[in-house]
Amino acid sequence: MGGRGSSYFNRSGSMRIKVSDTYDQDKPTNNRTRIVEKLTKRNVQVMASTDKIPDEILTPNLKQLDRIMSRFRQYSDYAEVENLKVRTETFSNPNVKACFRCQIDTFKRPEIIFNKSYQRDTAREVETQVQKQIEIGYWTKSDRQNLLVHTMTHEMGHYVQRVLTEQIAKQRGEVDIRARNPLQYDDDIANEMRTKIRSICKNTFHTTSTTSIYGTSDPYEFFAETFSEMLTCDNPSDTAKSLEIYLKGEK
Amino acid sequence: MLLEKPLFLNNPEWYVVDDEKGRYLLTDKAPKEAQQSYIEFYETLENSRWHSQEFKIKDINDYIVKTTQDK
Repeated sequence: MGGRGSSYFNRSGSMRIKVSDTYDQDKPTNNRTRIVEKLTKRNVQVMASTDKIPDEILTPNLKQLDRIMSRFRQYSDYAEVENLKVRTETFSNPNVKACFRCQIDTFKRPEIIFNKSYQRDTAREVETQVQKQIEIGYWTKSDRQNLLVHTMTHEMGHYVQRVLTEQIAKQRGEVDIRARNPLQYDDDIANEMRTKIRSICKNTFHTTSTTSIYGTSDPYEFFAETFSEMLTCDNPSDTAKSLEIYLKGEK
Repeated sequence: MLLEKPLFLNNPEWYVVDDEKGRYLLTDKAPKEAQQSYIEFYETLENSRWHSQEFKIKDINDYIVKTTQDK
């Protein structure tokens, strides 16, 4: 939330919403499990701040990250991407479960940050929380066996979208345009992606694109929510199938 | 990723979807607490995305659409 130990006031000025920033102090974990070693070879660093997350939560999520990195090599092997770090921080807003964060102008310091609150959870509790959000339509659906990795998959959706945006800017010769106003450029590309995915849905499946309540928040969350559904459901919606078509080359 | 549905989404009369921008806007029926919830939601969302960027909603009126007619 805003980077380096950032904080900000809400409108009334009465409450600061903060996130700690231990990026520079956080060292790679000494728990060199097989999955940690495997991810290291994929340029993913699992950091020591994750050590206190129960293994029954951390390991399945790291395995999911590995599966996504393997399936989407065109993004995970993107040469201009720094090592992705998986970390934890303290969010003063307990509603923030995780986030993907990166520099806006260059692809530096990409990280998936989980809220330290995961340290107090059990796998069952995480699954129950996710199930609840799916049942009320707030998050996109996931199959029961994938509830635990729903959030990691969502955050990887943000990562993939960011790499895609960098690639599109390069392919179109718009790197300089993006450099002048990366926030606006990325907003425009995220909107364009949403429009194209919806168009694929209409033209291919003759249905109107749907997403979760949270996925309607903005085009970035639309992408991440749809991405999560695409990878965690055996029977995804037409919108999620449309994203798959989009990623296969309708860009 | 945010866990709980924000308060402003609890009443369909309080918000609309801006289809062009793909995001929620408030209606003029949204009470103060819904406006507060909207600000917190979008500031949290935007500020969790990038390093060294600070997004603030300066004027909530920029995010409110009129649904009632002036008398």
